[in-house]
Amino acid sequence: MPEARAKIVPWKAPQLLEDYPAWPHTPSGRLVEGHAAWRLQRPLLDQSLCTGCLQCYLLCPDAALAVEAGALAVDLRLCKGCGVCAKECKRSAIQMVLERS
Amino acid sequence: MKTGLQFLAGNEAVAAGAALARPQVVAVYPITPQTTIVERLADWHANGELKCEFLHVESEHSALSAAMGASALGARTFTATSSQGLLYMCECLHYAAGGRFPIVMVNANRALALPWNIYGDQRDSLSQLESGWIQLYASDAQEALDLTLQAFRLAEDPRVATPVMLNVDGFALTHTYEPVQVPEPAQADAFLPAFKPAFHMDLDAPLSLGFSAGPRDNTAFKIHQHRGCLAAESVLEEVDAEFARHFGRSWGGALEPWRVDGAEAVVVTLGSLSGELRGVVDALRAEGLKAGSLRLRLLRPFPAEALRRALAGVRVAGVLEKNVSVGFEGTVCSQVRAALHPLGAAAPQVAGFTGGLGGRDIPAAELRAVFLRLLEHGGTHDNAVGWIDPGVRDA
Amino acid sequence: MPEALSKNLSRLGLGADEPFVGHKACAGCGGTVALRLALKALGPRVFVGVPAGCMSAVAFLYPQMAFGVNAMISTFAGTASLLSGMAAAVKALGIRDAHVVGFAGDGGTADIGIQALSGAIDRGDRIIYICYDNEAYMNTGVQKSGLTPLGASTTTSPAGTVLRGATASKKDFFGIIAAHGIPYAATASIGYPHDYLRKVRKAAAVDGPSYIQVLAPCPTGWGSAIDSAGELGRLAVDCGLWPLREFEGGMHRLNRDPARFSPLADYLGQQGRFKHLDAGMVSRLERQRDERWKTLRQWEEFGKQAKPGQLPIAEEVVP
Repeated sequence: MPEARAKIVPWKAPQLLEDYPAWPHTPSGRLVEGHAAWRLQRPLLDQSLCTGCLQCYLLCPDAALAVEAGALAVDLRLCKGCGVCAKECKRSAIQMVLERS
Repeated sequence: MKTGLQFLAGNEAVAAGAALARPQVVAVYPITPQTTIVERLADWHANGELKCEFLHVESEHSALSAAMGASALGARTFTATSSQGLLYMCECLHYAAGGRFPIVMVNANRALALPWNIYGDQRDSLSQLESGWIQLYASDAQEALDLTLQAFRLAEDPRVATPVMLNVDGFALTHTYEPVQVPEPAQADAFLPAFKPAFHMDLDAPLSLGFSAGPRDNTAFKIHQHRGCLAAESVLEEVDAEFARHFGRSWGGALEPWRVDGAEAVVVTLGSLSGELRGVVDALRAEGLKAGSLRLRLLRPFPAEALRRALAGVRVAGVLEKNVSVGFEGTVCSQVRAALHPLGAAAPQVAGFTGGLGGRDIPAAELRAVFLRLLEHGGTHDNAVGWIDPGVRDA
Repeated sequence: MPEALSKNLSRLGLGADEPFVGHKACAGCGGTVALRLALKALGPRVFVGVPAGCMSAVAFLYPQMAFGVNAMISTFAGTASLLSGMAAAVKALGIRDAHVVGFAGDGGTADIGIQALSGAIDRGDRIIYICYDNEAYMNTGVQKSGLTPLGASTTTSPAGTVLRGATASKKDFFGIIAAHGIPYAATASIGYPHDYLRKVRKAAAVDGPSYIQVLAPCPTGWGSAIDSAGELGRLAVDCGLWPLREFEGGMHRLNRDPARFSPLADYLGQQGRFKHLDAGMVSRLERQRDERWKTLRQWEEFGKQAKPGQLPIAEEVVP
């Protein structure tokens, strides 16, 4: 489940001062938005070609690739469409396709 | 470390106070005239008395940066500096204050280059009033020791959560000897228990510290910070009252008035000069002249309301500092003027005086002359600096 | 395939947790790969320091906190000193089984951060210092740093008509760190992630300071394709411009010493920052590379036959 890795909970700026932390420190790992809107293209995985080498998993800058139910899957909330995974895959198991509008 | 009544230099008293506070991390870098503080701490550390992590940092910027790293994990931290070192860590001063790290740092007040000068004046700390640190000024060795202990309680109070800079006059206080009561460790522990941080990096509850806040959010954090600093004035009084309960000595919070009641002319000052000033006030009073003096122990937060109350009814206030804000007037003078302004027509007249730059002595006769000038001419109608005994004159 | 996948996953030993996710780095950023892999290898018991620069700018924008572990932004010059303070607190507070780790760029390490790093190594503080080297001040828009290579065009060393890109060579920063006698140092590249992970784990085991300089290609700043970070990370190593090295026990070691390097042009040609280089300049860079490798091989030989007293090993006398 992507949610297990990165919980994204929308946030609105507080109106009351007391609802801001009293200092510029806050619990780690809190995400309020993903980056799907950055994408011009998204990765399409052909599982039949995948050898499980994990090069795409290692090189993804955004931790958007993860193993789910025994296969690699893309978390589309996090993927920015950089294409590094497709470039790195020696078996061409990943193709970048344009985002539809 | 010897306890009880000791004959100590100001720096040794500060070192004793710092050691008694049981800092867990001490960042050490030498600079005249602070050096004997860190040397004394090094002695106690080397013979196993002071149990702490003793970091020989390679610059003052690193001293405060390391102190922040330690404080971020919830360790009680201490460091000391002066003059050029204070300026070298300037970026970190703002950083520590904005980050609300309860670090205590002693600054040995010293002149700033250029020209080079290692002797005492007050330009270094006064040039850093905007940094967000609480600023205290001690006038003798006993107070320096006591305020060092008080500073930790003040900084660590979650209502304050602001680093404290304790200023001691270079050479005049750091290197002169006085009888000082050094508390027993058990006494100090009872007054200052172990540090309970309001926030800290925690492996069970990870924290992201020192984040970026953009145009939408930045002001909220600065308001929080501003109020935390302001709260220090009343918390200092609480801490001082608590100190009195433990040690039988009280210092009295933000201001130290001397014969201000019924005074016509009051000289406002910082630090150890106040001792000399009290003698001059007493002599003038004996001649029937209504003189008084007022020492600002707390300069940040600025005790504006307390100052207005203390100087109510005084005809003229002279502000005497070992500093000038080049291109205008004395920094403390400006602040006193601003604090008195709301009194309107009832505000005392103000005149600013600068002396003692680069360690130049201010003899009692010069202090007496300041009072006579105030009593005769009142305040100034411009922001001209009254130079005390500059040692030169115009052609 | 699922068996190969799970076998490879467990061999990596990285776990499913993502301690660095949700950052606002450029799509295709090499630096974030360096941070993500190191943090996955080090586990959740870490205290992280990151100075002003790309990695802090993209990961701490209130309220979005991309670090899932303890992390703090340090001043630009103060990464290593912040880490030293953290390491001191770890000892003072009796915290066990935790790493203090910093991630700073090349500017924050070799220029403005060099003093604090030198001090931390000199003190023997138990910190892991990882420099993600993208060879310029990228966060401020691609300005020349001390680790910008000869000839590279940056906004403050542009390829003009009189001056053609950076006129100084890259500082031998690894050599400077090694000269401190640091217990362990290594170079790495995100193009060789397994080698990098191995080195991160070695660094984590050091009871003292360790340093890794990892090449982190920046397509934005290098003017290369958005998906090129991994490939450029490999080519830099293969063409000999980025030797994979280790320094341990006072001895230099080359992790690979290929009989032949791949052509410089394959690497340089993909990057806008080098597109102005003429054949003469490329030859010059080849010669520089070849001379450098001769020196590196000599250093490796020296280490092998030197007597212990001759090696730069930091000594400490602790009762």
